[in-house]
Amino acid sequence: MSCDELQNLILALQDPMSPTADLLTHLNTCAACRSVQAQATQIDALIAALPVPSSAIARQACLNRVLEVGPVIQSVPVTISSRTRSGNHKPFAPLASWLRGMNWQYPAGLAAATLLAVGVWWAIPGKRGPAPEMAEKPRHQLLTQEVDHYVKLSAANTATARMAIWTDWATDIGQESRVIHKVAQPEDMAALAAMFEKTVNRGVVAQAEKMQTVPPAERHAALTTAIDKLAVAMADADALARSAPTVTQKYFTRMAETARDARQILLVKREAGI
Amino acid sequence: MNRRAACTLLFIAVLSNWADGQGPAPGLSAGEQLRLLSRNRRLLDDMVDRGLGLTDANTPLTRVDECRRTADRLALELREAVTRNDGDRLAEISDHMGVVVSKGLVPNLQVAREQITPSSPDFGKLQQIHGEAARSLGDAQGLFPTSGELSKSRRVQDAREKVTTAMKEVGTPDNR
Repeated sequence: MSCDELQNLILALQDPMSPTADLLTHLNTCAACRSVQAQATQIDALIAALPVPSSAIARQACLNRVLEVGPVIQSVPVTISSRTRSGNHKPFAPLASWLRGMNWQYPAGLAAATLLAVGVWWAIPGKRGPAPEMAEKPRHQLLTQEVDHYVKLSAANTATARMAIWTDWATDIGQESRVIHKVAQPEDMAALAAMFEKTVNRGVVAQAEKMQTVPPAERHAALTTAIDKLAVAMADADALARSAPTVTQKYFTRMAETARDARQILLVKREAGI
Repeated sequence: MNRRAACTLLFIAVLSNWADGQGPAPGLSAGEQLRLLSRNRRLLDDMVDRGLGLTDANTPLTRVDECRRTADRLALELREAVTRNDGDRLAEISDHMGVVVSKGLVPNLQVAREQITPSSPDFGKLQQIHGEAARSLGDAQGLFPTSGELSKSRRVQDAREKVTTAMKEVGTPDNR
């Protein structure tokens, strides 16, 4: 037995000075328990020394004095948690009180029955409505942009309009390459560089070649817009050709050259007025 | 139940409602964008080629034919999406097909039908291309599953409806 258990046994003794044989064996080796035995003996002696009322009337008078003093615990110390429960800080006090007083047996039973019913419903195969839809996966913006350019081309009747569409198409491809280049594999970058080249050379430049019949002012404005956009694409690609991861730099170099060459062709056409 | 539990439940309810109302994330990470590019690389390149073909098509009739070819190309993606049981992909490609048909094929078909009369030398060609377009869209509509989990998806049902609408817009060649 532990000292705590032995000390409880000592306190329970009729006479702490007459321990059992087991206790005595322990007391011979444990100073702490001997101290408890001594305290218990002292308390017993003090109790024995208390004055005892001599008669029934005196006992009644003694009891009345005790009752007049009132309960031994006069007030409960205020703690943080009890303060939060005090009246001034409890806007939901009536509700909380009602909930505390409520018999939760029936609501708990109802909840359990509902869960059971749902479980049985799921377990039994049968005709049910469509399963709830998961959130839609993100769509590829470049594909949406390409479809948009495509339908615009289907309604474009002039070389000017087509050149503008192809310039925007090339710009979108360039933008995609800038977004993904840090994580892209060489084949992804190669594919984008090839698409950029195709849209610029066979789209933008090819349509610029067909603008001979376009009025000069309109042609000049259209070529200027395309030249400016190609300049931005060229500058972006040039910058990334220096700063991008080594494996992707050559693709940006290729795209910058494509934009530079096309821009040069368009500049010549604009200045020559052809 | 105390006040803390009530507040927690309320917070969870509000959070769930908010999460339920969220659509796809507006800004994708570079990694997610790369995943999309890898999946669409060939389709993107084909779209550029189809665009170049469309640029060279100088008549409404040839444009109709180009748009029909593009719809066929998109139908290949639809077929693959069905094979993969990918409802989101079906919805995405159906949207693109719907746009190509209603904003590309149908307006050019209407112009071609106005320009080409039964006495025109191109009338036979018009009837043939129109018929091919109708068949292409009918085939695309037939790709959608009519049984199984995928067919129960609201998103897939909407996608099928879009292709059906596109097919109705194209109609069939008449005997003028």
